[in-house]
Amino acid sequence: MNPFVQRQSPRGWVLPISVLALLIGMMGSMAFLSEGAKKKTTAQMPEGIRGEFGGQNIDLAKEVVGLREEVSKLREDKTKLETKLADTGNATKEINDSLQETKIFAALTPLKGEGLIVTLKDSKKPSDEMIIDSGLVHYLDVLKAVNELYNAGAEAIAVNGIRVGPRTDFRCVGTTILVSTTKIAPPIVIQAIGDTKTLLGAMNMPGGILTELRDVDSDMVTVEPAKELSIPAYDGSTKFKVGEVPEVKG
Amino acid sequence: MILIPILAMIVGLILGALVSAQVPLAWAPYMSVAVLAGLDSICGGSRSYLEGKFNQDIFVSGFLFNILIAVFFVWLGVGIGLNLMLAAALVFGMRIFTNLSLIRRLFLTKIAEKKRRNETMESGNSGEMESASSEA
Repeated sequence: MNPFVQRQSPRGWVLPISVLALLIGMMGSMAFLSEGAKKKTTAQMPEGIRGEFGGQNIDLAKEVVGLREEVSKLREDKTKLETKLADTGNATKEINDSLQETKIFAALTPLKGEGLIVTLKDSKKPSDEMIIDSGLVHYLDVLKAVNELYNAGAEAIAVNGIRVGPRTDFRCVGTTILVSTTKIAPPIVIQAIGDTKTLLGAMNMPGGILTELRDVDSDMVTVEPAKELSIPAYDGSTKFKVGEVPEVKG
Repeated sequence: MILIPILAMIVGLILGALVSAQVPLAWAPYMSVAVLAGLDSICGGSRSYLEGKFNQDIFVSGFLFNILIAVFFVWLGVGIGLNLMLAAALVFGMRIFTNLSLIRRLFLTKIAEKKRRNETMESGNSGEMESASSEA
């Protein structure tokens, strides 16, 4: 028998342990709640950003989301100012109209209209049924689909919510795909505004670019028409470092 | 008696959920590690009570010190770009496991001892009665 057992009074341990247990309980509850809040914040982020930061650096991801929103807002404000300026005279109005057209062409404004949603997913079939990695969506599949959509007359395209602009590129980075600077991972949702029938025809064409994926697993590709799509503006850089516009001699 | 700290923790959990004060996101890892360190101290305290060597000063100072060291570890990890939070979580997790298993063993031993004592008392009583009846 331990000689110390008789010396400690029950009150001596119950009170401190209980008080600290209460404290730890509260802290645990709070930690649990903040973890929930973190998950909520991550869930609210656009898909591209969520994949890019993977819940690791939430603050940075939040900042990126904020900055992108700011870019879009500033561009919208610029459009409003240009329109206001145009109200003062006929000549300026025409200049503004042409400016807005150019901006629409350069993907600098959001666009809405009918179109198509193409979703590319990795195959869920067991890997031993397939040749190497044919069940995975590669950047080339995305690139080909975007190219084919443009070919079929798409006027605006967004990949996982990222507008494809004149300088958007697609690259393969390990297990993810890079759209300009944003990492995305399957499922890849390509939204395209354009004549729905033509776009559908291009996507479902026998021997077309999606045939290969469909041959592996028909579940990898879904193509659905959409009556009203809204595609955000391009939010990447528009700066030119090397190219210059030649002077017009006149 | 042992139920009081458990009840206190449940009350704490409910209170925390009711207050629903959220820790800033940047503090979340510190909080999680602090909770683990605190839990470890509480388990250690309960164990030392069962072993019969509970000392309030050691317990309270250990509780505070463990939390401080854990938080410092996480802070250092952030500073040197190494996830030291994992080290803290691993150590505290292991200690919680060890302490809980020891608590369980001590409990079982105590229960077994009590049972044995009761049995010997009963057999002693019956032995006495037998001897009494034989004497009669």
